[in-house]
Amino acid sequence: MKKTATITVGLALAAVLALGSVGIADEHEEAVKKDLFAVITLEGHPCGVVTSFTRQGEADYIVVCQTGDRYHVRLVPEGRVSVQKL
Amino acid sequence: MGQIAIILAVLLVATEAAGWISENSRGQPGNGGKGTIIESTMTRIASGDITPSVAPTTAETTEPTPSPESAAPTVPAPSTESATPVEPADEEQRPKTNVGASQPPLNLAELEKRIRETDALGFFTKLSLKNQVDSLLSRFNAYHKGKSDLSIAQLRERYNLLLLKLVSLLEDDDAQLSHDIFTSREAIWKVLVDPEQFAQLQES
Repeated sequence: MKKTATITVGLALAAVLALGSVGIADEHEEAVKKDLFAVITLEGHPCGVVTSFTRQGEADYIVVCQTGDRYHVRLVPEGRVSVQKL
Repeated sequence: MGQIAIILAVLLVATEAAGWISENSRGQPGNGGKGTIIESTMTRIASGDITPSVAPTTAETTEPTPSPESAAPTVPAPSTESATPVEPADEEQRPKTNVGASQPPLNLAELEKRIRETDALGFFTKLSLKNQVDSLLSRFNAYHKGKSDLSIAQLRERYNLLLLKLVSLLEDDDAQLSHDIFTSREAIWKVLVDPEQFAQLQES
């Protein structure tokens, strides 16, 4: 009886942790989208909303916007941000 | 039977918590539409729908002494007509935050430090803003050396635009900093247009 209760609590905690990590990952993705959207518009390009992005490497993303525009956003060696329309 | 009830209760709470986190991160209308103001403002800035809305005051018309634009007219007020909806407006019209209106204005060093430290801006955004600030400062440098092709009015317009972008980006997630920048705009402008203060700034 005690063993069953321990397993039950363990499973419940695992479920909580799993669901929590999904939420954190989702939050991180939204933060990246917001950052990419902000930099694209700061550089004067149209976007609407960032619909998806692909991480190419460290500080290097391919971004797809609601407008249909695709951009290559990356850090260039001079310490500047490059936003290139594809 | 009691154990099943406990499991179901815990799972229910976990699901609710995950849904809450997810909803917050997306800026759903249920969360006050967080992020939507930034998006609409930045989109409008990008598309040229709005112009700098930080209306100059009398202090803005102060011409720096070595101005190569001595014959230039006084600073025209940027159009506020189209920018009214996103204008941060007067301090009394900003009830969102419990900010101290009597705080001293930020200096540029403090401003840089607080922008570096805020979590409201992402890595690329901060870097892009830094690039734009550096670009503006180099234009002021050229202006003070008499080598600029921009008039003081054009510099003011660029300054206003950059300030508007910054205030808009910070408005939702760091309203205190957004407010402090807005209320410090004239103090910062005075440093930029004063040749001596600008030279000290460049040295530091």
